[in-house]
Amino acid sequence: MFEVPITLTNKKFAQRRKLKYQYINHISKRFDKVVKKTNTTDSLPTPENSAAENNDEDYDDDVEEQQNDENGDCARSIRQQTKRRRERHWKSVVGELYSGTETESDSQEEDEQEYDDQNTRLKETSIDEERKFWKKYEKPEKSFEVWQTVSSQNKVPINKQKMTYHKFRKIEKTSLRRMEIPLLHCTKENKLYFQLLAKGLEPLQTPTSAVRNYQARHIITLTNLLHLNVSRHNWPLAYKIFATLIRIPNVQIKSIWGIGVEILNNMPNSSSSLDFLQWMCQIYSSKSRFVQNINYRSVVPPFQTGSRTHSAKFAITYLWSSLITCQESLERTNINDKHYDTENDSLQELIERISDWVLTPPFMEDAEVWFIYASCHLLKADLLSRQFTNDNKNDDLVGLNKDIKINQVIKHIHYVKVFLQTCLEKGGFTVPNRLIENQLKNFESRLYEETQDIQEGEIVDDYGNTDNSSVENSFGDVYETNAEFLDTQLMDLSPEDNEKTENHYSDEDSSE
Amino acid sequence: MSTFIRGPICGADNCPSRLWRIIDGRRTCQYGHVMEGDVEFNDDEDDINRLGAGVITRRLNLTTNATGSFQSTQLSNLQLLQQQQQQRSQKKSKKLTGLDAKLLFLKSFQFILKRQIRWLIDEVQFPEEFEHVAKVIWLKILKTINDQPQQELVLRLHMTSTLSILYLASTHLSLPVYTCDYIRWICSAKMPYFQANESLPKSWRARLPNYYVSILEGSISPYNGQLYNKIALTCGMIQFNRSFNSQVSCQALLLKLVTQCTLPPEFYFYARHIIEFEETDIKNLVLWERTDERHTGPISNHAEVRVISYFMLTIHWILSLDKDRRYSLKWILALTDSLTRHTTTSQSIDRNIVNTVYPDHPTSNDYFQWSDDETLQFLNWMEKQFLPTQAKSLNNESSSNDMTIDQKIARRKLYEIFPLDSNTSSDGGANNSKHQLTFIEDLQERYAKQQPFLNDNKTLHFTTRQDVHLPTRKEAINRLLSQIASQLSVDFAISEWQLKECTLRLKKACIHRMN
Repeated sequence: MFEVPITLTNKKFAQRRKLKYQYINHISKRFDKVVKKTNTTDSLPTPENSAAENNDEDYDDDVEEQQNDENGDCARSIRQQTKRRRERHWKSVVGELYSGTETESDSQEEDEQEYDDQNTRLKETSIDEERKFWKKYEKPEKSFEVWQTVSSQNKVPINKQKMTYHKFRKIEKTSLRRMEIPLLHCTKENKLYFQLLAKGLEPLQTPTSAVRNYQARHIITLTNLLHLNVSRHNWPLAYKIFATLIRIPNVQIKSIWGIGVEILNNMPNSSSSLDFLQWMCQIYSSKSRFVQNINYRSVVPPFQTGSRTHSAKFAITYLWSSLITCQESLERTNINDKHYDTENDSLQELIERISDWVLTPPFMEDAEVWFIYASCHLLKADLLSRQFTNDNKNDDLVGLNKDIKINQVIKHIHYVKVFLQTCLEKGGFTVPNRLIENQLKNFESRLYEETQDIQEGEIVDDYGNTDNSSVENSFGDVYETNAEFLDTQLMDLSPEDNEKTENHYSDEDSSE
Repeated sequence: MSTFIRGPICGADNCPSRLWRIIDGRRTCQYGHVMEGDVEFNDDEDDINRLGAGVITRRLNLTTNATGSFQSTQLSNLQLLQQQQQQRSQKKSKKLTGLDAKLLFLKSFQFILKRQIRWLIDEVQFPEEFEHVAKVIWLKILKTINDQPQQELVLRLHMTSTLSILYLASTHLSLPVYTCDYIRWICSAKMPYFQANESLPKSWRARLPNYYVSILEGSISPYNGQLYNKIALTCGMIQFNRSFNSQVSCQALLLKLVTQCTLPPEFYFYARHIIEFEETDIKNLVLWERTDERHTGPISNHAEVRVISYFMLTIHWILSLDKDRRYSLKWILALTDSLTRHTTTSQSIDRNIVNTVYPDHPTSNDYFQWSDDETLQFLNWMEKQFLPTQAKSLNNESSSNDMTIDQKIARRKLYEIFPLDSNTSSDGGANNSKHQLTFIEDLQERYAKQQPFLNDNKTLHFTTRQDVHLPTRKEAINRLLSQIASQLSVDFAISEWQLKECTLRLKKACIHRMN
């Protein structure tokens, strides 16, 4: 019933997958032959695309159409490759040097070679059909667990090609005929399964429902009980089930860590969920290398660890939740000079941990991590700058001591700006840029509250216009907004919000 | 020039290199990037005497841990690595093949069989003679194997063979033990069966070919009458009927069925009459010897399944012909309800466990209706019985050689985050205070609940007529029968369809004889 945290691999499933991809590959090949139109757009069928399409149009003859679309996309990419190859050939004949697209075409060349290899190997017929299929679409390290929501900017209209039913039947018929031989050699059950799939039906029986292995049965039972008790909010039982489940060998904790975190959050007097997340990050680090030849799809829940370009979801969760706990613990404490250093520890630790990920090879290139990094510094700058307003009466901060502290704050503010910039450069993550800029200005104005007359000019020079009215902002307000922006980041922004931030973003750019 | 060593990705300017070498004491990658912050301390005490004799250089050996980064360089690591390599090379050569492997497999099989017999004698109080009988049967099987020519030796042994040997031995001694008991014992992981290969001596397991190891794993519990087929085949193999007592003690089985369904005691006699009518004598129910290896034959050949079918037939006929005189409709409905009721006696827990093991029975999804108490009992069982069989190396880390030290540490840390003990102590205390019903108490209680419906049928008579919502008598009987059938088919590891077919066959035979 629920997804089971073990890999179910046996001959039956392997055979099913092989048949499926053999059929798909063959159909797409036939399609290329039949439809010979050139197209320039090169977009793969991504979840966003199909989702966008679902929103746009009503979906009457979906089975056929979808197949067409998929096929069309495959065909298009292949056609584009051949077109590019031809282009390059002509260019080399003419003696023209490649212009700006040289690097791109280089990478294309690799793909092309791959494709050629595939073609040649196709004749040998002893290839992994599944790998061949996925090779067209993805590299493993770039395509795991992408949890993007549908937004207007992601919408790319799929180029729909009209195709007569007659043609479609023709393609289907030849492919089915081609499949007859492999179908002869497989079991009756798998034959039936394939015929179902080919007709566009979905078999009701899930892969777990027929498993008879003693251990697997108990794992399935435990998983179902776990989901059941979590949904009933029966946390003590759920905890016990989880603790039992992770002690069974072969259970992959990577696919159930989310439930574990939730259970720990809801259980009093248990170890904190942060510890668990930290453990996950340590054990399944993003530094592992992806071997291109391994078929990561065959492992049941694919791509659960991180890579260089994507950080794993548990890593992100860990960073966010530890950032929030830092912030909460800071909020609770009274602003006392003496306690600062001890309180700083958790935040400082977090900053160091992120810098460990981001600044040592292999460098993590996820925009979200950079954003969290920036937010950490933001929090730190806020914390340090608060000293100045509250310690007015203390008169501790004079002379050199004060200068040092001011420098610290400015250093952190600088970091925030730099890291935000990197985050924006990496792309793929929308940031409430203007809000943060305002915050930073607030912090700065705190520093020079007393001595505005001396240094005001300097501030203006460095960081643009400082709005004096915002100096009056109390700390509570600052924190509220701070918490707000944290919240908005945690939740997915609605499309409208996205647009707004987009506008801010463009404003920011123009001002710079 | 030193050779390259595999290590973490260099990453300077996104350099893809993973190969490192040491140039002037600095770790340098394939493309010449120097690793930053990499300092080697030579904190070994230099042996002055040796220095006098000549300079001895020792290369620092780099090893990588699970995450691909360098471990500290120590000699012990090198030794560890060498040991591992040695083990690996030894392992490869260790696996036996051919006749040697088969002999070792027989030895291992015997080892597991012995464990099972010991468990039966120690825990279930089987008589000591049981061991001898089982031994004789095992020797008979060995003899048939020995009689085969050595070139084309086929063993035909499976983990179900252990069960069939035990079953034959208990049948010979006329012990009131049936397949349902064996299935319950193995599914609740009390008797060594699943993952039995873990209990083998390590040296044996290392040398046994993987094919045989996986046989001894016993990964799938017998289903669809597989166990009956295996028993019949083993019978045929050693011609059991000729030299042993092969009569199934069906009186005890009937009594067991009657009490399990909390039927009134007269049903026992009804069923006996039917059996004696059809089989002419109750002693004629003997084990079937199957000699045909290809075809399993009809399921009704097996004596135990016949008894179950007769039992089902009895209920069906008695209740259908009764016409509300003695057994009222209310009573039937109450009985059906009581069979689905969930309790937490040790028996029902075991049944719950057996239910979860069989996926294609309708009862397999019963756990969606489990109460908290039942779930807790199930988890306690998991912790105490199931987990120890799953990972022998759970607590003593020295025994698991297949894990690296990093993996062991990681696992220990995880278990510290999720301790099992802290919770069980509090829950266990709460549980112990509540008295768990014994089998007799539970039985008494269940019969007591039936009592009012049986006695007051005169007064209840009118109320049943008036109630429109009640199902008709035929429907109620069918519901009861299907409930009993689904339970029995799980208990005896046959499919419901097989049970139905067998019942139909016997019904036809009975009617034929009556005419």
